[in-house]
Amino acid sequence: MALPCQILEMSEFTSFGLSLKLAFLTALGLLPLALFLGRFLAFSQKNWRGFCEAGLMLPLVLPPTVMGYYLLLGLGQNSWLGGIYAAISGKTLVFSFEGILLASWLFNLPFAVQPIQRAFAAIPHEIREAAACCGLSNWQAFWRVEWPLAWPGILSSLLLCFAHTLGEFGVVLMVGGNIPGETQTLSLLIYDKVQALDFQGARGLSLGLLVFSFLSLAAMSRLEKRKPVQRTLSWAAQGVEDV
Amino acid sequence: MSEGLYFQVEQTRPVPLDLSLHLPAGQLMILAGPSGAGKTSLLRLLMGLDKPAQGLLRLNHKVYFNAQTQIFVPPQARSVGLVFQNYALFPHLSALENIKLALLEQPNPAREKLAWEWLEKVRLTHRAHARPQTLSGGEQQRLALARALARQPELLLLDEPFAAMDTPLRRELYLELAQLRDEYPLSILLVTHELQEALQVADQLVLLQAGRILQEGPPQVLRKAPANAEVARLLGIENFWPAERISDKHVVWAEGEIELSSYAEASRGAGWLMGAPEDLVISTEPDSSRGQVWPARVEQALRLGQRWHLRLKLAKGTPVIASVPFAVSTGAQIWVYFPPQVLQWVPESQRKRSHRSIL
Amino acid sequence: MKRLHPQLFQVVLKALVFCFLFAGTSPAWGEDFSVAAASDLQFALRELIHGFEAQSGHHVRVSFGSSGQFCSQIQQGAPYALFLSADQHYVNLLLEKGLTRDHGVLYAQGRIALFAPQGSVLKVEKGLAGLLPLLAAGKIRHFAIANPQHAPYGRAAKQALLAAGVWNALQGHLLMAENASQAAQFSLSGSSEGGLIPLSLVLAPAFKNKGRFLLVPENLHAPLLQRMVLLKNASRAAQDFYLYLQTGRARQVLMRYGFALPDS
Repeated sequence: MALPCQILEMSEFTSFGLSLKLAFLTALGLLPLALFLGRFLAFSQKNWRGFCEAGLMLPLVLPPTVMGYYLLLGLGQNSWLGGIYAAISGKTLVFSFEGILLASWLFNLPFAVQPIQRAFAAIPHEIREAAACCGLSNWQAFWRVEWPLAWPGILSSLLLCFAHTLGEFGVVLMVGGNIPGETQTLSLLIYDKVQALDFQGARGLSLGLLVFSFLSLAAMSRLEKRKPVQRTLSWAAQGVEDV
Repeated sequence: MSEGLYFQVEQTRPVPLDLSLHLPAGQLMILAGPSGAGKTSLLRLLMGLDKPAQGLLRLNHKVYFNAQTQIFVPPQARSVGLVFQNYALFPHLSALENIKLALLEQPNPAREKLAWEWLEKVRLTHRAHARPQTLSGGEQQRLALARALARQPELLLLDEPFAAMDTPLRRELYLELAQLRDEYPLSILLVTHELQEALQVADQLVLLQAGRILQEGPPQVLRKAPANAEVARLLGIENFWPAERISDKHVVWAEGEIELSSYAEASRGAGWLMGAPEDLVISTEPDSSRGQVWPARVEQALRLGQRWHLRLKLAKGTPVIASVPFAVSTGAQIWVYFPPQVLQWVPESQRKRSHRSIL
Repeated sequence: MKRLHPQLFQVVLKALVFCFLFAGTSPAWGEDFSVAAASDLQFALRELIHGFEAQSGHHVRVSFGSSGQFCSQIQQGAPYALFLSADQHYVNLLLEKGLTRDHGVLYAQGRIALFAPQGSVLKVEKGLAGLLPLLAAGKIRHFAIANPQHAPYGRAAKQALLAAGVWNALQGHLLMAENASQAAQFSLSGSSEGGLIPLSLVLAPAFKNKGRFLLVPENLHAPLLQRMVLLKNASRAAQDFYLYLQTGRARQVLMRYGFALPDS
């Protein structure tokens, strides 16, 4: 029975690679949108901001099955988006890597946006006003004042997305099927192994995934506590409270 | 000749404001008033951080805001510098870089040179590479000043610069501001609730309350002739009694008739009487040789340094504050003499609200 | 702060390289195709795939699950080339929708077994009827079957339980697994007294010495006629596999796993 085990090993690497690829592309692909949304929510005074935030929070509270259902509806063969994609690439959007990537972007939106929003909101508004008073345009203020003060939050958003995507299961299963080499991520492979009664394999992979996720989160919390920026921000904020 | 600043505003939210200001170029104006009067809101409107509902803002003939023609110039494009109450220095940049950031329009070599010049001017060259968190309060303020002036604005705004400062630092600041005003074609508008220092350095004083101007003018004029009791209170004038002028030399107040030195244009009618506490003559024996004396009871006697600060009540209940260089005990019966030459008359005909007309 | 940037960048770069190296690797020779297989074929099919790959050089990507789930996914465009169902119903459904090449072929007939893990109070020798006294005594906490709604083996299990008159008594104790394989996994777990699972799984090496089983009489449920079919646009390689599964060698493997063969 040695040979079937070898097949499984190959699939382990493939699945791990798929999980990593999905995690990276989710974190990086979501960054521009998350930057825009996070900054907008942090600084906007508009009334409908609350609705925006609530909508963004949905993936946090919705069961993955609900999200999966709507995604199947929205990305499936009969949908508008699915149709366009099929016309361009000849493949279906669901049950493909591109499909689960899209689903992953939607599912991770709150995880990407919230740390960024917090990071920007932590910048005292006087500092941004001072930037305007110094003649900086919006873009210059973002690049030279906001970004240096917010980047640990942005990085932790990336890490959070990354770690969270590694653990995604329900949505990937529903939208991706469980196709090895295409949509069978590591979490799905573990599930498969348990069903195939390969508990040893499942154990090994689960432990690996646990350690990996833990390390990512540890890196993230170290970043959040990055002394220089944290201290400067709290000092700046204190200045506001004192007077 | 530059026009200076002309600003007229009317709004109800977020803070009610209804006033118009004119600050000639090269002058230092102090905007004072109790908290909630709208002083900081006004600064924000001048800087362009907020937009009023109605109004007009012009600086040296440049229109920065006109509600009617829908003109609004953002802060970046205004020739205005603002020193925030808590300085709002960029915490991730050194002192030098803070100033350089305000000079982005210049090419890099010029930027560096100008920034160093400003550092020299505010005597911070030895702290050029320090972060704002490591600077003392006074140094932070000087840095904020340099940053606000780096772009050579025509109007400088300061929000409560004297707050949390000790006297030597305040002195330093007055001198610096006076120097700046003389050196550059700069108008300075300063907001504070610490009036005593303000009076020393201002060309114009504007008293604000609930979004309206109570009185404006050179500080000495205000001190001599406050428009009404509120102004007097804000200016710290302690003795301010309602009275009625019946003749050139005589005024009737709550306690009866009292004599004044005549004023050239003394108008009849209602008004107020003022007299500085140190100028009133207090004696423990009734002595009418100089003039009418009034009996009073000492409600409170506090020793402040070498003098005693007295709170007196006259026969009809009029409160009087006096300051004497000898000890007086609480509850004692004393006599007050009001020398006519120290009494000042402020007629009520001066309106409570004063709006300067457009020049 | 500035110092961190280059370090971080390097780490990110290395990780990216690493992941792209391992994503979606497949042998450069031969073709890739995807197969959807009912989960009762969990072990049997792996062995068959191994034999096929060694012989042909193609690479088979197999997904196991319940036949009903696959039928639904294929209708939504899942890119499988070959579908091995655990019954005929789902294949016919796809045929009606015009998603298959032809009506496929019967490749095996399955059986279900009553399985009790080591140490369970359930004694399989008594058959399904043996469940009743245990249920009355409250000794059965859980009993695993595949979900009858979309797993053929689950449907068969329900039919058998109904026929044996145990279905009603078992309500509240049933563990409805997603597919037959998960049902097997549930029945092995410590928290269930046993289950009705495919014979092909019980006969697998993974189940050796894990418990005892008894074949459920065929007359208690509709026969599990397992049909496989090539889907439209199946590649040549998939076709080859389809034919391979009908060869003598393949049938021998299937027999080893307890499947009855349609022709014999």
